[in-house]
Amino acid sequence: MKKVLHVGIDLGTSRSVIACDNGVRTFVSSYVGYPKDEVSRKMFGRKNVIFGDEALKNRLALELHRPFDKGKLKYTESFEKDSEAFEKSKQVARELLRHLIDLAREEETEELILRGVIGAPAMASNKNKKTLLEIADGILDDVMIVSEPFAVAYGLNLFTSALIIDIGGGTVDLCRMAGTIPTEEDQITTMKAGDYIDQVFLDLIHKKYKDAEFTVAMVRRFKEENSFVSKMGESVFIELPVKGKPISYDATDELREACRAIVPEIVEGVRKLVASFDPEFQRELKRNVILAGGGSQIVGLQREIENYMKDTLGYGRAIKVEEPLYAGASGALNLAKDMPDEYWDQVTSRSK
Amino acid sequence: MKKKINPKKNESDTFHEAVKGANATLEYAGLVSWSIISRSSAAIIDEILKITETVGRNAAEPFFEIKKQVRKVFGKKIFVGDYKIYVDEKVKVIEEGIRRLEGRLAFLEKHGVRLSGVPEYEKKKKELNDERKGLINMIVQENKRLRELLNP
Repeated sequence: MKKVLHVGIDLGTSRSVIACDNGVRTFVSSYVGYPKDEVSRKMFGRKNVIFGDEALKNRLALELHRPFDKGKLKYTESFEKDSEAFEKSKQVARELLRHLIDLAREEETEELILRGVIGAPAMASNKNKKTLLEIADGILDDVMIVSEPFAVAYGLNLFTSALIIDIGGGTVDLCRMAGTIPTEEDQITTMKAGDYIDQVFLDLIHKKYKDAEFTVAMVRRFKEENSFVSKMGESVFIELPVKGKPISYDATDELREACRAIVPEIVEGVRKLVASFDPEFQRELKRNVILAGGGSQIVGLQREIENYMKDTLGYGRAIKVEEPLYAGASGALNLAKDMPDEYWDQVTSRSK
Repeated sequence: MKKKINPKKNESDTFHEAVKGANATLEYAGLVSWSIISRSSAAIIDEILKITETVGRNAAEPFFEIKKQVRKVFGKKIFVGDYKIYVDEKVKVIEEGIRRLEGRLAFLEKHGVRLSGVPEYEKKKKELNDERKGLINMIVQENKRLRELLNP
């Protein structure tokens, strides 16, 4: 009898995460690169595909792809109009998923049945979920799609009176848990997430320091190390080249403004979900606002949301999950492990 | 006042003649001694070499035997060009394995991976309460509908 390996997967815009029940938990930056020519192929040891930070670092020698960029595949459907680019993104996403699985099963020598639960944005359409199933087809033996914030809630055992805010690179997903599978009314997805902060920050820096030369990747790296929304704290300086010479610039106000740019939509989403909840349980819901995803690490964001809730809703308490990066994948893994075999048999693709 | 003697001027120097004679005698004695030693050494060196070689070989024999047995366990004799060399292949395989594991560990540490002590995939599934079973069943039904979209 073959062994079964359960995996929980969060295919994110900026990072893709996998958690498995063989103990492996890892992530890869969601970049996939193909060598531009024979010279670059040789440089990468004849490898045809390069992943993660290595791809980003060597982007000049690669044709670089970010398969889930701007809600591609997972959220928007407008992308499907350009079918060639859509198919390419799907192919790239398959490569990324296969790479994640290879990382997880590298030490496994035996034949395994791979059972995976993949997270999808809260408001992903059926078409988006179908795309995710197509991406996983042939890579995972049995696969299920669940809402990302639901996966976080499942991992934390929070099934009732909790509001999950999953702040990712491409989307912010808000999901109200009311003891059942969240419906459309229980969920909100906004597109102002990590990438939006990068863009605002880039524009502000460009406006203030016209001579400086920089790329989105440079400001993204800086943001990930220094992001904050509070007025207190130290000044932050960014080193940018001007005509080849690195010069240190004060980027405190610009970074704060960029990070704050995502807050209004989040707090408005919180207000909507709280206000439309059963009045008897609203206080409990306001007590259990859970921040997950890479964006939850923005310094001061938790306090900012609490202050806003106090002003508009009278009370509010936000809690950051312990491991924001792994919360979604770990929850998906728990779900995969809990799923009885007979349920898996209903969604298997092995017999097909 | 004491008279200063100048032997060169008088052409008579007994003292210096005596010193020269003594020097010559010593030099001759030295040469004779060296000659005797070197001739004697040349005569016995072959025998000494024969003795030390035999003793040395016998003394080293146990160590060679140990080395031979170790090679039998870990090593293999291979030919590189015209030369016969020993390569401890098994040791190299182990070293390579360790290197690969170290690389893997460094990668995993870099990416925040944690390895649990015992793989869990063989553990028995835990019993679920009705609430959770109901939730999971709903997810399954939703996914079944999705699959129908995929394979109409």
